[in-house]
Amino acid sequence: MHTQLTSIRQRIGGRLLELELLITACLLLIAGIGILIAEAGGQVRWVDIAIVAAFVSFFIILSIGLALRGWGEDQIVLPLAALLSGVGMVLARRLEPDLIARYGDIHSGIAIKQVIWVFLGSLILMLVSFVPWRLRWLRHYRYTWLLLGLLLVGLTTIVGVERNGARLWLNLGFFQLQPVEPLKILLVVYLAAYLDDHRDLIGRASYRLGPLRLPPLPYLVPIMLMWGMTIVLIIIQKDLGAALLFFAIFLAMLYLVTNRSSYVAAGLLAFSAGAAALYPIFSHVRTRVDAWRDPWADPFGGGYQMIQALYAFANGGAVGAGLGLGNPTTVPESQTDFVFAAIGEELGLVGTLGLLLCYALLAIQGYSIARNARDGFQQLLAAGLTTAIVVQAFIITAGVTNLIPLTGITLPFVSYGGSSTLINFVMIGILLRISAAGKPPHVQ
Amino acid sequence: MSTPGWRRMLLFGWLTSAILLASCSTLPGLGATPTPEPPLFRYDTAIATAEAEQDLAHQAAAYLARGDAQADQNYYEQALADYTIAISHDPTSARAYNNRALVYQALMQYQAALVDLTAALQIDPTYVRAYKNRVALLEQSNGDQSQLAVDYGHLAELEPTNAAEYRYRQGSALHGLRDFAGARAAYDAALAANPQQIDALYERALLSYAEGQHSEALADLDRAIKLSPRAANAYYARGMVLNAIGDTAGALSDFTQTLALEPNNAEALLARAAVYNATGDTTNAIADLDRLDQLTISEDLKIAATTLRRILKK
Amino acid sequence: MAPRTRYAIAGFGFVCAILLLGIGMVVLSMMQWRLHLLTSLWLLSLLPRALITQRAAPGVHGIARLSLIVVLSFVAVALQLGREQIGQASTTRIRVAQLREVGATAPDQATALRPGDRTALGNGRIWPVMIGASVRGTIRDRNGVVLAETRDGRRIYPFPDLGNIIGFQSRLYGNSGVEAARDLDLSGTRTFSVTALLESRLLGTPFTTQPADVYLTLDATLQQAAQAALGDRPGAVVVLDPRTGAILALATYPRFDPNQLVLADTASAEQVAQVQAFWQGLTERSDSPLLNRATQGRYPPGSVIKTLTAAAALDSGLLTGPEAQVTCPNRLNTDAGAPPVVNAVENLAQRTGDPSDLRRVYAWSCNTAFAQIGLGLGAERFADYAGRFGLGFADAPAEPALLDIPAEAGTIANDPAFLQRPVALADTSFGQGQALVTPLDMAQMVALVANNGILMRPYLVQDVRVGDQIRSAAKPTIIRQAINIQAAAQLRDVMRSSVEFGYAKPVALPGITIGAKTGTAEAPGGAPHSWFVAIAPLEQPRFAIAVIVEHGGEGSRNALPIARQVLAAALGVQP
Repeated sequence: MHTQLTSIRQRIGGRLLELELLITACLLLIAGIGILIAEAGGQVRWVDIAIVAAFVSFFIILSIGLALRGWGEDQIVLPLAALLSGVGMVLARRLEPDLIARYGDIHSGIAIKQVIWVFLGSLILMLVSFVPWRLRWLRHYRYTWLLLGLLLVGLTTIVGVERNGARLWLNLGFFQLQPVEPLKILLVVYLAAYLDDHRDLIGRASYRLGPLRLPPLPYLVPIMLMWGMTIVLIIIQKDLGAALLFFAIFLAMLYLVTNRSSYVAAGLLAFSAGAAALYPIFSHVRTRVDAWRDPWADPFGGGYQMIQALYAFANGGAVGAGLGLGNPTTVPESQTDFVFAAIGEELGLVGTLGLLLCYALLAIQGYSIARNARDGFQQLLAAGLTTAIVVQAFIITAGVTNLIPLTGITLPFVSYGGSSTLINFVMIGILLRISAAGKPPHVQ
Repeated sequence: MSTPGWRRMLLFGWLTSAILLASCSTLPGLGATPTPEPPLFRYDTAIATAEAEQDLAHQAAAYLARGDAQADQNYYEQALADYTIAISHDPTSARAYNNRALVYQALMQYQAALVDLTAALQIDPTYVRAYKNRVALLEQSNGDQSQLAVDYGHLAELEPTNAAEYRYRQGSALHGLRDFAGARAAYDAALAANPQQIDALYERALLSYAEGQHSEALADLDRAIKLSPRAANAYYARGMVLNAIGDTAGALSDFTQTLALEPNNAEALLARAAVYNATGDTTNAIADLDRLDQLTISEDLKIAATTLRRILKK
Repeated sequence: MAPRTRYAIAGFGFVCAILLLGIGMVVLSMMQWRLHLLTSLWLLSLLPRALITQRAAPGVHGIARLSLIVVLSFVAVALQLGREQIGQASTTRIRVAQLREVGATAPDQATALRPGDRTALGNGRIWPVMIGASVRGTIRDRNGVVLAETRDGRRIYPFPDLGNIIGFQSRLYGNSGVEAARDLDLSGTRTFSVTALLESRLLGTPFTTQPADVYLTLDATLQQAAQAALGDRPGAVVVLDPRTGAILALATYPRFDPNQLVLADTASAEQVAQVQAFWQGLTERSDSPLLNRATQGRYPPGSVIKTLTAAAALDSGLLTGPEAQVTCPNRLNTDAGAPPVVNAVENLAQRTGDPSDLRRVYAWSCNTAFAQIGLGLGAERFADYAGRFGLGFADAPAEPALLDIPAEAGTIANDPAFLQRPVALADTSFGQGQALVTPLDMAQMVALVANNGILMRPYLVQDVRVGDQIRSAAKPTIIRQAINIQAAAQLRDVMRSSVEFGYAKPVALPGITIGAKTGTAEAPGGAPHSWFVAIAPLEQPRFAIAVIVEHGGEGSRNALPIARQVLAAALGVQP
């Protein structure tokens, strides 16, 4: 008994950093909720309690569970994800009344829904963490996964729910799935496996096209196909964000394998060429690029959202207007794509920089997991998953601040939305698994 | 991996492309061209949502938003309809009245615009934008000057950063109505808010001059000229004051300065000719009158010039 | 590349990056900023890349670089946020505020001109100045009877018969007569101050002109009498005060009613049409109702010109006095081939006697006698005396003596050469020839006789008053001494005879001595004009009158009774 307790204490002590970070994050959340309660005049709603309870129960319990199992996973990734999703919950709680006031009751209950998503996400995280599975399975059945993903996407294109001019959602009754999200993981898995298999071949030989060095022709084709798929995604699904993300993931993983930045350059060139070719044809591409170049040219049409976002940022200033005191709902889609603008307005430069810091830390930590991974596949997988999360964060934050053209993807963990949160937690789970230095060999 | 990956890859590629191409109803030329999302789309959805839920306040807000969007795209008739619906749903919306007034103004129905602005201000007497719009409307259509003065007064109180300018304009409106006491008070307030509000300074000087307080007028005009050394009409006014108190030399030099800045100033020419006549310098007076003949001037100045000429001839 | 150089370059790049970023923060253009950002990020990456290459294990280079790229991307976003939230915050706020500033003219502090740059101050208002047509002086007769006044902005003429003299003031057709001649006084523009006008424009102080009242020398009652006497026979009556030249009555027919030409400022379109129709009618009539026949009508003088001839004879000494001998033959030959001068009445010598004297030939209006006198005077002397009486030649017309209203000057002949011919001179001497005179000329003629030979300038405007104050008064002016006192006295005596026993006898009034002359002027196209001139009372003449009735036949027929009536009214006796 004594030794058991000692070992428990030892194990928990092993993950003390994570626990401390989680508690700090929890306190931050409580402070945020407290502010919102104070602004509501002391009225405590169920959802407020639910947020705090959720945070405590899901993450801290998860942490303790991981500690008890003692596989030695990375201790920083989970608190970061928890913090980000906690911020997401607080924001959803903050935005809900204003959204209802402005746009009607379709937005009612988003706070509790976000809590449910986070709950489901942490559930999945628990599953991924504790259900015995092997990383090898990912590698073996890569084509299956990929085909599944593509089928889902194809199905959505045909029978999906149309929203804002694109069919991105598949209605599964109680729940709307965005199949592009699982496709992310599946694509990463597939690419990691494929590139790892053909690491030498791709990395070594080269094929010259003028000043550029390209991978050998047999391997160039699949890569070209990859490029083609993303372009097609843009055309058909009008999902510029997903296309950009996939292409970025692909280039990152390619670079890791080949270590040649010329390939990356060529890839970027090809992507820009493709986008430029599409610009005059497709109005949705045009609108986005025009709004990026000069939102003031069409202040009430294409540039409206961007100008509102910029105005929100400007109003935020250095320290923000204060949680609950700004007017973030003037920015359309302030709870999903533009939640960063809401943070910018209410928490100011300090808040946004803090958030970016979280993602940067996540990136650093994720890449360090990749560096310390046991084999090439895991390395690539970890790198790919990290890239998927942080590059998505970069794309949306850069888009919202008008650094690059705006695309419609969510801010991982923070945006309100189900599929996105779930998939991100899955990715975190896989990362944790990869990072588990003390995991038994049979779960490789 | 047994089979070369690339072959399998190719197979997959085919399958993928097949699936995706199968659903490419949006490719150009192969199906319906995608309609660009109309800019009002989001507003229409908002209205639909609001209508569905039967909440009048939300409906009013939704119609108001769409009205705004349409007005900005110059669809004034539609904007008018939307604003009217918004008002009927929420008669306490000052903003709806204000925006509808702007649309009326764009359609040149100034009376209706004024009525709406008055309604907006009744609902919210501190609605700065509505005051500004009403003031602009009255200035543009040369409307009720007393209302203009009252509105400028409100604006001066509500927007203290621009109080000086508003007080000056209030004074100007009252001055035009011949309410000299009120105009003076307004000019004084303008100068209190901004001692460099030269328009108020100048007009106050004219007011003092009209009331016979020549020394105050002179003091104000001296200051105005010091601040704006290139203002021709300030020199002219000062010349008139000096002439009134008998300082013909000073008056002459000021009129000459006016003409140096504005060579075609008929009044300055006439005034200088009159002063030359008073001091007996007939040659220069006639020279000025000759110069005056070259200009196109109004009837009363013409009569004055003829009279002066006749007096000079004798 | 050696590590040191690499680090050096990297360090330098770092500094450049910071500079670029600093500049870029305040640059307005987004694209330019993005360029700055990109460049500076690349420069910033030099140092970490150098470090990675040097320090990190080979297998880790890829991951390290990848993580560097990702972190730098976040740095880029952070910098962009810094710019948006702090650097460009106020600019963005202002721009957004301006987007919805539709229709509002908020004073824009940023773009308002600084005081030092202003070239015009204030609101530039010019107060409207009305030089009042609605306030106009009255025209009155010598006793203050109102002849024209403005009431409620409308000109009213209580004596419409005076239209030709007083004139009219019409918005459409301008002014005429006294209204025109004294417009400056009546409207007040004579005395206005230019400075006051300019002050009024600048300050809005009321600008008032001071209209003055014009007092005429006319006597309204006498004028009425003259008009009544003339009736509706085309012609004119002029009554002068020979001592001063003041015109006491000036009647003319046909007349027009000036009230019909007045238009108020607020006249309706049909009122305007009415006035226009009236004017049309006036201008189209053949008998020229707009003409003031008294001062502007030129007629052949007929026998009344004999007064001039007699005056010339007496003054020059050709005849010594009223008793001087003059013959009155029935016929007088002048030039060879020219028809002889004849008298109006056959065998006039019966009346005048043979030989006769000046007195009788004047009283009986003997043409032949006066023809001889004229020939005796000679062309130069005759022309000279005509000139003294104010009658010049048509080719070089003299200025009319009357300055107050438009007048014509009479002429004795078309040119001096005409009088050189004896027949012409003869004809002119007794009343034919080319002479064309106005009734005023004839009144002046007898007036100077009454006034001891001194020709006074006739004037119509007595004074100009503002309220009770006389601003200017006319002074009787002497034009010249046309004939000497003796001659004048003698001529007066002669004129008395015309009334005592001559053709002018019917004019006699109880208790008054009158000197007169009838005249019958041959007029083309009809009966001769009927002339009559007279002065009364002869001892101290106060009135000189000239009457003409166009185509009125003999002088005694039409003109004489008119003159009698007028003189009776003037002298206050019952005719």
